[in-house]
Amino acid sequence: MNPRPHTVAIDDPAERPRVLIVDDDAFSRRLMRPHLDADYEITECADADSAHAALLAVPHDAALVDVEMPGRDGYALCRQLRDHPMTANLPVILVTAKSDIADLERGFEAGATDYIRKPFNPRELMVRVRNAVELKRRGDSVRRWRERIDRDLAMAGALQRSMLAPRPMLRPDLRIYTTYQSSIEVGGDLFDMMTLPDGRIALYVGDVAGHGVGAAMAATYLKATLSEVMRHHEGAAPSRIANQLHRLFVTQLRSPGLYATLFLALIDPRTRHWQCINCGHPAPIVIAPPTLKRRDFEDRGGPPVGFPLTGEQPFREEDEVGLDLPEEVSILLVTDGMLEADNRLDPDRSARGQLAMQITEWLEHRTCDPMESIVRGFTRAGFALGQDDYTMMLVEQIPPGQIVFSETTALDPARLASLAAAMEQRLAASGWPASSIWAAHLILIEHGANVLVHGRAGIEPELSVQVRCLDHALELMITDNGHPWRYEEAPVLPEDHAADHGRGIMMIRRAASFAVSHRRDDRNVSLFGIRREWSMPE
Amino acid sequence: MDLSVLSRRSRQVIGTIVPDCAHREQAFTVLEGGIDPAMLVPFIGYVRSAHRDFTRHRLNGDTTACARVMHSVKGAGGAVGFPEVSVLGAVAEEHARQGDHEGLDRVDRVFTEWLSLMDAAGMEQA
Repeated sequence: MNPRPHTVAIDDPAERPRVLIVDDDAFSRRLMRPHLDADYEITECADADSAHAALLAVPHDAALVDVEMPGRDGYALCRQLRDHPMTANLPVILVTAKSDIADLERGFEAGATDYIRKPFNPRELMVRVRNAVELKRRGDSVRRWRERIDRDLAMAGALQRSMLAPRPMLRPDLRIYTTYQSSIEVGGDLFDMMTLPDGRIALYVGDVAGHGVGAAMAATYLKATLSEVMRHHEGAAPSRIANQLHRLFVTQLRSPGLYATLFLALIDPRTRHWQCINCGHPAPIVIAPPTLKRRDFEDRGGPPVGFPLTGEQPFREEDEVGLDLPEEVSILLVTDGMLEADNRLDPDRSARGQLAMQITEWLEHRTCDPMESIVRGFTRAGFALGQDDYTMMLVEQIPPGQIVFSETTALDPARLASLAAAMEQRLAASGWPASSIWAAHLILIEHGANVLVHGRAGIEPELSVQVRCLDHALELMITDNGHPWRYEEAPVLPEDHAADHGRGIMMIRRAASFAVSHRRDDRNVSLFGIRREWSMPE
Repeated sequence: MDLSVLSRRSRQVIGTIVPDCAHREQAFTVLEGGIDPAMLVPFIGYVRSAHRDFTRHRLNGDTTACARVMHSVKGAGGAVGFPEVSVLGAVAEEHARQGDHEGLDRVDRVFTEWLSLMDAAGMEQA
């Protein structure tokens, strides 16, 4: 008399969807059950409390909830289910003999997904339950998929961050600092710097169009390919490297929507000559003292790498820019994530101008880590970062005249002490205050002691120190051949735990206004900033 | 007794105090084929039990409890092919909510008569 709608019977009870019926009226439960028994595992409850307990004990696929029950009613149960993470996504069908639209509205406000009126038509009951169960299954499937994607993205992000770790390059003649942040787990920015076999330094910053996994994978591909191309084309001009990269990108990725802006520079550190190609990337920001005649990078270059319909060799030698940069000049390379950041305080403020100001301030005072200082100042000025990936690379050239002390020595306690004494003498002769000399002394002694105590077996310890004097700060660059070590990753220990292990780290942290380090040629290179008017921090 | 005859007699009994029953039962008619024979006996048992509770609450003057019992009857009748019983449940619920004790007396008597009809129709086993 009441033909059942088409259903797919599942024989294994463990596989069958579970449906809970809660109604204080046993006859109402009895009316529903025969229509559902064939397809579902049914749980019956006579009140809201036992229903809530049953749903927390065993996951269900749908619940038929009577509205009028003694104690807590169906609305209250519905709200309680929505508030609990285990039942928040459970489809709830309210079963009600109430007929006012206000009652239904109240049910939906409480979190019901559907309702069925009493007395009910069995076919309607079956269709509504089947829909609810299907809704739950699909929702669960989407949630599982999203969890898997989230896990994969987190893993991909961790891998990418390890490849794009913003480590500095610290050389006697050049310092390069980087920072990178993706707006989601993975990002489309890329950057790197390396010393080429011919002694030149290659550096680049790029940005793959778009966001997400595709852009991130293209960025990773570009970074790996660019390193290979540069190593295999020793002495090649930037335009030739860019052409080779473009050809590989287009032929191997074959995706017309994928392309990347890139600024690539090959620097000869002896002559300070920069030979650059700009492939559609924002022009570098030049920071020069006001006394110096400013030379900006010319607005030259080619299309983005991989850009469609640009031919096999879109970059010509004439597109390159060659500059002999004065030693006082620093260069900042950025991606558009910084340049296009909205300013909430002053929409008309120029991101370029702000960045130049932050860098000038840092170059002068060096009160903390350069990248941290610039990002903090930039966001304090109202710029909102995080809407897009951003990368910054600051290249600071070191004028030889600022180096007041430079020594290398095989390391033992006596030589370390005499090296520190020689450095002290030189700084005192340069007119530096005793407090900042003391801080430099402490850093050198503690760092050298660490290398001596934790040196590598079978390797004679060796240490180089270079002291650079600026107007308001001095920089101490120490190179050692000890175990791989990074100050940025050293744990911060509370004072009462630092009596033995970590005491030296803690003292160096207090003495230095910033400390950065990297590993190059099997050596640790550490750079410490010390303010001229140094005093022990609180 | 034939189920269609039983259905007609049931409507006659309830129609004695609900003159517009035929009109009102449209809201509770959910089965396409009339009375569900499989649920007939359990339903009569259910109404007998509900009527007992209703009478007790009525005699105690507990109109809230009367309304709750009749609310359930209202939700059940149509589901087994007795939409007129749902109408009677709805009428009783209205009387209970309004505190209309005379109305509740009338409903009580009609339920008694309806159950007698079922018994007379050979449903004593209910």
